[in-house]
Amino acid sequence: MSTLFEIQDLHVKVGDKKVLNGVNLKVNRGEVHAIMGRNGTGKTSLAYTLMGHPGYEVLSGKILLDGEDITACKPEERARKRMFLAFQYPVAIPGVSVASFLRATLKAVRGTELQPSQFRTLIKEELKRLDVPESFMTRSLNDGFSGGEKKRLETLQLRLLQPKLAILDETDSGLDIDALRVVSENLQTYRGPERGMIVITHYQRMLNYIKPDQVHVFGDGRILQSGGSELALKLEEQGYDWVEKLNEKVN
Amino acid sequence: MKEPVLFKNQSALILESEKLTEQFVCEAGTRSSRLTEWVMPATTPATLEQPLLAKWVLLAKEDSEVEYVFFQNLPEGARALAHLEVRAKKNAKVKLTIIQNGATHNHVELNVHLEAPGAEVEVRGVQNAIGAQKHSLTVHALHSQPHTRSDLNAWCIARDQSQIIFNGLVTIEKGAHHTEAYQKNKNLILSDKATVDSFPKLFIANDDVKCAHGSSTSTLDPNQALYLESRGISGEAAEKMLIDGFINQALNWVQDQEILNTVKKTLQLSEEVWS
Repeated sequence: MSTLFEIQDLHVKVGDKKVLNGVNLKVNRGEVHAIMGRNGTGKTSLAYTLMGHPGYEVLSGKILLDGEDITACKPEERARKRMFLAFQYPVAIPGVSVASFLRATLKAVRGTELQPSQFRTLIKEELKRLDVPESFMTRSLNDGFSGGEKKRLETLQLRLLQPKLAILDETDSGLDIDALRVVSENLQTYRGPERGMIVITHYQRMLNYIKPDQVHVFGDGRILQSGGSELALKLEEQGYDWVEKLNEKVN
Repeated sequence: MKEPVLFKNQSALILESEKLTEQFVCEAGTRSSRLTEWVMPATTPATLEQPLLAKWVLLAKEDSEVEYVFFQNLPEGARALAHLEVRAKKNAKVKLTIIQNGATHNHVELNVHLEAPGAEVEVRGVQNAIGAQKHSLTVHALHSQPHTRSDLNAWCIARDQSQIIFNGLVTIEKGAHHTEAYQKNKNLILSDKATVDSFPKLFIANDDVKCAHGSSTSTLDPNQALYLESRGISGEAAEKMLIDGFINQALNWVQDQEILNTVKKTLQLSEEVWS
């Protein structure tokens, strides 16, 4: 399998605070990688950095997509190169309807404008898949949405935009059991031999649906431990203490 | 309150005049929806010396319902002075949208008089100032009778070196029990050199009323912009979407779709793609 995405010795700060301390990661085509770790260890900082958040300053290191160095690219350029971040807390934008937003993002990422009838057909199919009512389309983007509705909309966008690399930042948070199943199944069906996924999560439950090829434990702004899917189960049973102790011994 | 018996849709009235004088009467028990767009005659040069004047009165009679959009769409270089008045009779319901777009100096004064019990008047103002324009909106809601309700909202967008002033005053006279009166002013400042002054005020000479007022001022939210940009939308397009969204918050309450579409098209707001 060829490399789709790579992070090389990435060091990042926000203001005066160092948040990433030498992250290395390689995602091959077709692979799903899970990143787990305690709160405040830098997982969301990694997600924001990968999407080009201007508040996150890359001190050194590289981010490569399909072999191309995208470290200096703006967020919109990364999106057009088919990277996608499902936000942990999608921001509300009052006055901008979901439909207008989806039409704009589809045009921006795919580079072509769909005819209104094609757009409606496409959206209706996806709404049905995600068990979302059509009335969603005329509501303001994420405004007054429940946690579950926000995550369904993030998943809908992922399916519409068809990224090469999807980064899911705690997409399972705020979901009830049924919503978790619907969202996870849709994410699972999105997997493909040419695509990659980085799933940031606290819990094993989402990984029951989206079985990862590799699991990484994040701590102190870097990857402390990597392993197969069994690592997630071990973390669920034993917590993070053993990883951190092991890492202290190594250092 | 009696149900309205008639629906009249008189939309898209365009008046081309330096002096606009209009009185609109919503007859008792009827329901109306209407747009007045005030534009300047193409033959008239815009000058600050010769002001454009508007005097507009809306009389909502007993048990009537009216949705009205007063849309100033005036050219750069003009000075506009508009005096607007709303009189709401018993159980009348008024929804008024005022849009101030264009004119170098643009001043609107609105007096709302809730004259009888059951009268309700909601106002949404949009001030869209660019360049070196100076816009002001002064709204006065007078509650002289019990059981009346007013809700005054102003959305102000100040770009470049523009200046906007919002003056809101609610007066609740003695004896006007069970009055509800609200005022809210939201300001979006898009330049270091633009200014907005906001003065929401309440004068209450009575007990047993519900009142609230507030004002908030912000720039574009970088997190909102980032969200849009992370979906491939350029920085420039994201900024337009956010500004359009701010204006849409004020306009989307207009129920008459023909009127709403006319206004949005003129303001070059993004077209809605799902209805």
